[in-house]
Amino acid sequence: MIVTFYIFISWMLIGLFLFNKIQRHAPLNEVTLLFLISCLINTHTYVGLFDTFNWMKTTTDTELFIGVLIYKNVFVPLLITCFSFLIDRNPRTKKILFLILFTLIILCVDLINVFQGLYSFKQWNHFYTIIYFSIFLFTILVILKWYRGLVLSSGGKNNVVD
Amino acid sequence: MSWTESGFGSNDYWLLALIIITWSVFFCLPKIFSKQFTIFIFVYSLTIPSIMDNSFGVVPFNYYDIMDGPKYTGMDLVVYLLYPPYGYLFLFFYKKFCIDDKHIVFFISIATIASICFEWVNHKMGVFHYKNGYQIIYSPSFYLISQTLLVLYYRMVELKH
Repeated sequence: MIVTFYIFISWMLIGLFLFNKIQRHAPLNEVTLLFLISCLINTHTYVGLFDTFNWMKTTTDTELFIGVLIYKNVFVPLLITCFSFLIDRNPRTKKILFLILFTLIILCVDLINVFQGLYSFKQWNHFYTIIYFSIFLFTILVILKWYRGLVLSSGGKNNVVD
Repeated sequence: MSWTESGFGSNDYWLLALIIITWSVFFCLPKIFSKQFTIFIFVYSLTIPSIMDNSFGVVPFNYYDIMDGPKYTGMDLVVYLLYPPYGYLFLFFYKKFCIDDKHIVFFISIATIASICFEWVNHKMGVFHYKNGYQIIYSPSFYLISQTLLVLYYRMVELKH
């Protein structure tokens, strides 16, 4: 059930990028880069930090683990990418609203994951999850700014070949 | 988190030597891609193996270990430094040889064979340890998909510009 749930909401987020307004404000190269960086950070954090330091215990059940894989490699990167563009392009008041919405989504998803047994907390709680994802989102926003600065420093040319 | 599980051994020296060689090759090559696209190649080359290792290399699948054993160590992270120059080299040859539609399948097949050979050498040198029935013969599927995706993305971006 949890696998279907994550496939469905990931599909919804992909749909947002492909068919909705977000695409007009987010160039393909930026979306791809942010998605890949989010994947990279998140996959190493779960295995390298949470599991290694025994802060969380990820499930060893194969079916639930597939849910964990979709959650950390597809859903979270898509959500972070989506919200980084929403926060980046909107005025300050809307930024705060989107940040609150992001926090609520993360909290709900974290509650569902713990309830469904995707992972269990050892030296961790929901508040730490919110802090982790806020820092994560902020890092992605900084990377987005840096990447755009790189494009500007190359004379606005966003070409493939020099 | 420690640097190694069982001390600094021959596999660690091999890895460091390989990293120096691959990055030297990268720095010697002419830079035919823009900075932004080079960053993309690097991030792509880091992300795909990371996802694979953190999905199939951990329990419940647990098909292989990197470096000394199952623990997540500093040297496990150092392994990822191998991939970005390899990704760059792959697209460099693709661009340099102006691979057209007719030869693209042949090119990706050659690159996959090269990747398997590279993985086999690393397996023999103790960088990768297969277990739970995993064999090197399963690896081509990952290489074929990841390399095809990289070429497709490159062609899509190139077409756009």
